[in-house]
Amino acid sequence: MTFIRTKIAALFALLMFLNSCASTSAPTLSVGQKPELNTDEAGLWMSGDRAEKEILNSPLRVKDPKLTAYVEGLVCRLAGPRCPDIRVYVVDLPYLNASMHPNGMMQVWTGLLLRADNEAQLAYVIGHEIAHYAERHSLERWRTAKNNTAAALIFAIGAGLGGVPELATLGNLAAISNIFGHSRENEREADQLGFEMYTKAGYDPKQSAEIWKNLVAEVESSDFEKKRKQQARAGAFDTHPLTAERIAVLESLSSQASPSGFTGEEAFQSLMDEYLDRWLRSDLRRKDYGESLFLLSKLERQNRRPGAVNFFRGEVYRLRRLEGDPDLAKASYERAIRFDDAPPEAWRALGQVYRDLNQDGRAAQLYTTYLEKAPNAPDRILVQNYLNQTAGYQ
Amino acid sequence: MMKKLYILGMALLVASCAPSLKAVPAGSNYAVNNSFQVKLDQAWAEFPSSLTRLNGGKLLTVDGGALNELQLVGGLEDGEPMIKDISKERPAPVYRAEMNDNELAEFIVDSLTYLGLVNVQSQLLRPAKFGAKDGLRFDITATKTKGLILSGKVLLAKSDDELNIIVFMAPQEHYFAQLAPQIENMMRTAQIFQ
Repeated sequence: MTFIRTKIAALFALLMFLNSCASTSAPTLSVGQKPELNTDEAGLWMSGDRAEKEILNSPLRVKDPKLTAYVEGLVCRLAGPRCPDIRVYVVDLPYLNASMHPNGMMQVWTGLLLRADNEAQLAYVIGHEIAHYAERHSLERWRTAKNNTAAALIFAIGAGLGGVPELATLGNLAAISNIFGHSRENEREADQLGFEMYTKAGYDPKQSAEIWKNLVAEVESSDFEKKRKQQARAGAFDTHPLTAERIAVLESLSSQASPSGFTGEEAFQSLMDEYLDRWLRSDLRRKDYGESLFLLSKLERQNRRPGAVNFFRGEVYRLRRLEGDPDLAKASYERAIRFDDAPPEAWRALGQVYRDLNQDGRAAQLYTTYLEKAPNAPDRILVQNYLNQTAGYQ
Repeated sequence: MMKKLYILGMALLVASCAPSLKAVPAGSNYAVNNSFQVKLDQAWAEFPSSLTRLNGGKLLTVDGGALNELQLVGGLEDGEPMIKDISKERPAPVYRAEMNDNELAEFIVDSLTYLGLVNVQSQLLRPAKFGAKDGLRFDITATKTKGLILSGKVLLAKSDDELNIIVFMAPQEHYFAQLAPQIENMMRTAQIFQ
């Protein structure tokens, strides 16, 4: 027994020695600073550069100039003199996530843009990521992993990314994101520094906690027990502090900060509303209808795109197929077509409902409107066939 | 000498375990899950099931999976996915027997998206025959990870509430047009077993 204890003590001492054999801390990155070529940091930057080349060609990269200019402008407002060192890519993935790579590449996922209520909430998340970059947290994480001889574990691509099939399309970028998951200590530091950056830029301090509160509520609405049980985390990866802890920290920081600040709500929502149809369609593919309904209710409370919100709520019910859902879908589609912003598919969906109810006259009216609104619809031949068949009965 | 024989033996053992593609000769009547068959004008290679994510379906290629692929799924029942689930919390789209034509096209688009393709779009939905059964035809476009644009053709039909699916996809540049006439011929030969 004593022998075993001695062996365990020796192993522990060896691990401690290995752990202490190289310092993991790194000073704050200076503006414009790049690593020396013969350093481990240069290796990390090269990995980031390779990933950046992939994202430049990735079909998931959003190229819309208005949207990217908006996000870039926001990054520059927060980053100040660091702005020229950072490149921002909006990535079309339906999860709440943003990340910053050590070479200055930032990703902002459309799931974050969909879920932020205003510019201030988005700004807080981006400020947090800039803090990771400025404090070289990825390098610290890398060195800690190396010292703990756990690098292979960190490279175990997929473990932290399971259940997000879209990440397969990001190739090496997904691996890079996993490698650069930060420690909880780094996350806390980024929360603090991100908050300072955020309030200095003039944003409302209270909004910093709101996006996490919304995330907690959304996850509690999930269809999946496992997700509901697991306390909401800050992103797709699981090294972030538990959200409840983060909310408490941010509320404490907010209470000490000046109460004034702007949210930028109107301009933010007006721009994001232009992309809602595409993002909500992507969100439905996650097949977490509880979370989608939560999100749609939040958008409805904000009076955003009532036609689209009601149409996609109808889509949730159509796809979910629980008892009573067909009636709920019909009611949602009926509401949707009262608004000009409803997508043409709302008229088709409601037309299908009436067709299933054998009310061909009403179905034909709705299908006709659909084809007027979407003359190049992919299903035009099918719809026109139906209209021709039912023409004599109307 | 013994060491060399041992290494050779181990190498053969490993090679025999590796899944390999199976040749499907030109002119074959190729049956899928006792649900339907098609006649193949030219030689194809069938992937072992362990190398595909199709749920019980067959995956064939002429020049390699990156250059052309034919997905054949037969007898999909109500509640079954076309693609195997990768996570309970992110399940694959499932087929429902009551799906209408638009929903069937949506099911294929969502399934291909679940496979990792991006911007999958269905186009030109139209009625078609799948053997003696009334079915649905449409074209698809999609983009692969590194930006390669694909074109595709889809034919599907229900039979006794079970869904039979033929999906052909290839890069828009060169490879799609190269096989498109054979795919049209093949789709015309599709016969659902009664």
